[in-house]
Amino acid sequence: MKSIQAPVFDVKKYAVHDGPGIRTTIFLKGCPLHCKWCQNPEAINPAQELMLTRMKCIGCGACTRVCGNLDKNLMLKKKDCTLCGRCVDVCTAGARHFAAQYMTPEEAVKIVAGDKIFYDASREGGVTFSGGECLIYPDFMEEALRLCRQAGIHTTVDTSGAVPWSTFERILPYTCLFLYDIKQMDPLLHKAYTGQDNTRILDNIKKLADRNANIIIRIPLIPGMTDTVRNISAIGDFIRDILKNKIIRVELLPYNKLAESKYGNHTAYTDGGVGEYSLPELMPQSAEYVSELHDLLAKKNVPVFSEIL
Amino acid sequence: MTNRINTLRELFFAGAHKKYRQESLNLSILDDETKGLPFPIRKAMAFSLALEKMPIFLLDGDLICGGKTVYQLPTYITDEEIKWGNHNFETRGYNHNFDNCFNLGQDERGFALNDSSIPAYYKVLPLGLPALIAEAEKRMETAETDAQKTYYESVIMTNTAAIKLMARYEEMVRTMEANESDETRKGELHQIAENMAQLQKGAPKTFWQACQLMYFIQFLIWVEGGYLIPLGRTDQILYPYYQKDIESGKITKDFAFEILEAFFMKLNYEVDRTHGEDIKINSDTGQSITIGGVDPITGDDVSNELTMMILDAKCDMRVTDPKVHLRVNQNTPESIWKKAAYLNSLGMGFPTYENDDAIIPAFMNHPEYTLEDARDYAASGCWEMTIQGRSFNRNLGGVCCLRCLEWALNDGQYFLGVPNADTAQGLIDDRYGIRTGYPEWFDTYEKLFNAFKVQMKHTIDMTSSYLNRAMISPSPFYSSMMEDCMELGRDFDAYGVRYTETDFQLASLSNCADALYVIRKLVYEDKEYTLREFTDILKNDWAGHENLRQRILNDFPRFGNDIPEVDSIANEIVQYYIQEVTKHRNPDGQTYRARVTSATSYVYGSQILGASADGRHAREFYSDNLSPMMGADKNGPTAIVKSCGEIDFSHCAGGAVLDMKFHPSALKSEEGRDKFIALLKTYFKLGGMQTQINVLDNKVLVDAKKHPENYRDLIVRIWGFSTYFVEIPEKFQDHIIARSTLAF
Repeated sequence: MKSIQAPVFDVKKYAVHDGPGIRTTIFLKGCPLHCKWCQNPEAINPAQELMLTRMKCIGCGACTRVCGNLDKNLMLKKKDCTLCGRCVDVCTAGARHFAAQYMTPEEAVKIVAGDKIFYDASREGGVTFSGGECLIYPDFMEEALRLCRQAGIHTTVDTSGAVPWSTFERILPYTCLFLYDIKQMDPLLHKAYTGQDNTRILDNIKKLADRNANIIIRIPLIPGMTDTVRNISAIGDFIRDILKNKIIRVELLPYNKLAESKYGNHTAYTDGGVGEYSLPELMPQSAEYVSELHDLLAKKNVPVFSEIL
Repeated sequence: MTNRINTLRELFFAGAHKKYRQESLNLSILDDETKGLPFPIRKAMAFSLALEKMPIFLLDGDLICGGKTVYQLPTYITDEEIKWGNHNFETRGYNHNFDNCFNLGQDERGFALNDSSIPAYYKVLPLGLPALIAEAEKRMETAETDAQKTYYESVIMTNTAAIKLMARYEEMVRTMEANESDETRKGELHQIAENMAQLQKGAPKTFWQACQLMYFIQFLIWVEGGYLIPLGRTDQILYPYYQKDIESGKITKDFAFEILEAFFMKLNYEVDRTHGEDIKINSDTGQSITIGGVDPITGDDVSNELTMMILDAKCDMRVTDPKVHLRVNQNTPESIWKKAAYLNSLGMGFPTYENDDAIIPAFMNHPEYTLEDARDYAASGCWEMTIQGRSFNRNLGGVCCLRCLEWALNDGQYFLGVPNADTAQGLIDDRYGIRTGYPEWFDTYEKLFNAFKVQMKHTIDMTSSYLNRAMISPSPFYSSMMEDCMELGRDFDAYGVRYTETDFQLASLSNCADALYVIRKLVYEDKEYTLREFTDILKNDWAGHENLRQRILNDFPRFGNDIPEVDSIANEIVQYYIQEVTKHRNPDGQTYRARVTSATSYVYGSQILGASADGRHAREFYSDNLSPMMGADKNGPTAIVKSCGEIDFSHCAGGAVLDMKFHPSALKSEEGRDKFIALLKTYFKLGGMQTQINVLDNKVLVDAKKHPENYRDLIVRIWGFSTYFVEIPEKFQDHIIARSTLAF
């Protein structure tokens, strides 16, 4: 594997929730955080993994003939899997597949450029790199973003901010917009929910704001964890006092239950994959509560936006 | 929605209007004397008698008079005529199994009833019915032939009957007025009676009267036997009346809106009485209205306040009729786009979009049309493009691509044997297709593709010869609402209308392109199978070859994913199809028109087909209209748009319809709708002609199937119109549910 390649685990065209206009979103695999509510759990581990979409399996048994390590559920231990790919090759139903496809920046940009006519038609449409955390691949990202800008394509980076500042330095010249997550202001709680404290994340966004980058802050509203009045209020203060409101807007993303169904469905490993969803059953916020939080930020003069429920 | 409209809507769902229906009056106009009269005169007599005797009514709070209450005209066709008629000419045997002809309405002789022609409301409203009668009388004096005299007489009789029915309505409403205690309603009833009085004397003078006359003509055409009756460019036709009344302060905008909604409500009365034998689906009424578009003379966009108002009414009412078609072009105002996208987001399948910038040039690529007429096109039926008031549209023939490929692989025979052998016509030694040879003979892909083309040509030639022999029943009232019939003294059956259009359809295009790609790759390039082996696998419906089928479904490129290798095959098929279809002329001398739509055939036509090389099982539904095969569209709507953009529709004057489906979340916010608009604009820039949009939430549909009682007004768009989800047959419901899981 050449270092400039990155593992792409999904490409979504006509992505309408990842920035302005019609976009193509490229999802890269691997993330330094382990948020309990992660919506793309397959994307946490940067390593290649074997997946099994059971719904597609037609029970032909072809995989059992090429791999001796499969159990009766057609799964295997992670350490036994050499990622040889033979089971994927023989699976005509497409049930077995690799989680990621390694792409060079050129390959990724070729896919992106195919829809340029739509980006142009929709004002500021373009590409969004997301993840996982796309910025753990600085070489790939710098080159891919540069090529997109060269092709006249609007670029957006969707990031958790949990990467070294030097990475931001490298991509800043080629990034038109950042979608930047702020989850929790309390460093201890941040560590408890995501596995890391938030010092670097907050440092980075301050530097980005100082450099006049275009930033949309996104707050995933997780019941009881990030959607507390205390947390939202603290984020509001941070944006107003530390970032001096030098952002385009803050978006509140109400909780949805979609993520739960992804857990445990697609791994081919008995001892790996994304594991069980560790959150108890949570109820999405009421529209009233979201608008309460919205008003809370608005009162602090923070530019805020929340999609109508 | 005002209280009045809400009440009228509740009354409609409760079926209040159905109480007045009398199926047949059990009358006859035939006696020794009348038996020998010309057919059109007898039909006019029957129509007149029906109007004289039919029950009339006005529901509480209603503002518009009228409503069909009788479903069979008094007997006017003699036994002799029935005996010598062309029985089920367009129906059993030949059409369903062979050429996809539609089985629509006929009179007792088997003569086709008229449909899909848009009355010239733009001409008739400024004149009024008395002026039509006067003109017919004048023309009768100088008419040269007996046939013309007969025609004018039948026009006079039917229009006189219509005016007499107005008088009956006036009298009834005046009685209601006298008995009404509520002062407001009394005033309304007075005006309704005055409206009827004015329309007996002359042309409508107000917006209210214009809507009233339009509805009156509309339902009387249904009484005469017409169906699938579109209304034309309604925002243009009604605007002068609206503008005058608003400017003079005669009515408020709110009341104008209420009149419009009351008028639209009435159009829903016949949604449960559609035609067709085994394809009867509620709301298949063809009551399309077309809004927006350009001026016939200047070519400028002419969207107006009524365009917006009509979109608003459709947002408001949640009923199926009328179906709204929005004509868009480069100059369509942003406000119209936004309102239309909002209407789409409500999920009812309105509006359908028609692209002026592609459709008008396609008309102009046909030798018959003038630019002025082409610019005045409107949607009829589902999405047929015709010239309002000037087109007599017949859309009966169809080509199913997969069937042609099946015949090419099987020397002209179906894999599954002769369908309905007992009633079959058109068989040549057990073949519906033509003999093109055995798989062993096709040693190159080009030879196979040629055989496929021969089968396609055969279908088109045979079908057109049958279509050209179709007999048409005269319709004096309906035809008097068309341009040219009056001037020429000719009914529909004598081709009095300016343009007689015969349209072909092309179904299962995406499946066929996928299938041809698979065969080219597996048989001719990779040589994994011989064509004989592969054909046998298909004949046996993939038995023992599920792995191959899965590989085809999962690993092969499919139409709709922006993959030029497949898209170009689709284009090649379409170009050949257009070339062959437009070689034919109908008895009026006009070139046949090609269209890419499937209508119902994806459900019914698929039942007689064996497995196809694109991984489809025998009898499985194929794709509808221009859409990629269900499940094949893995890359979202931009890829579909680009694939369809690869096809050259510039000579496809009948239109080409792309179905798109979205999840409600994609259109919920204004931002989301702006992106949707950008997507549509891009498609139209690439030469796309027409799109219809479904915004579906799988969970809602599944629940609606389980608990229909909670979803009586859940409206979805099926092949070419919007209908109530809970009322359609289960297999259509399942198909829509399956599609909705793939919504973007």
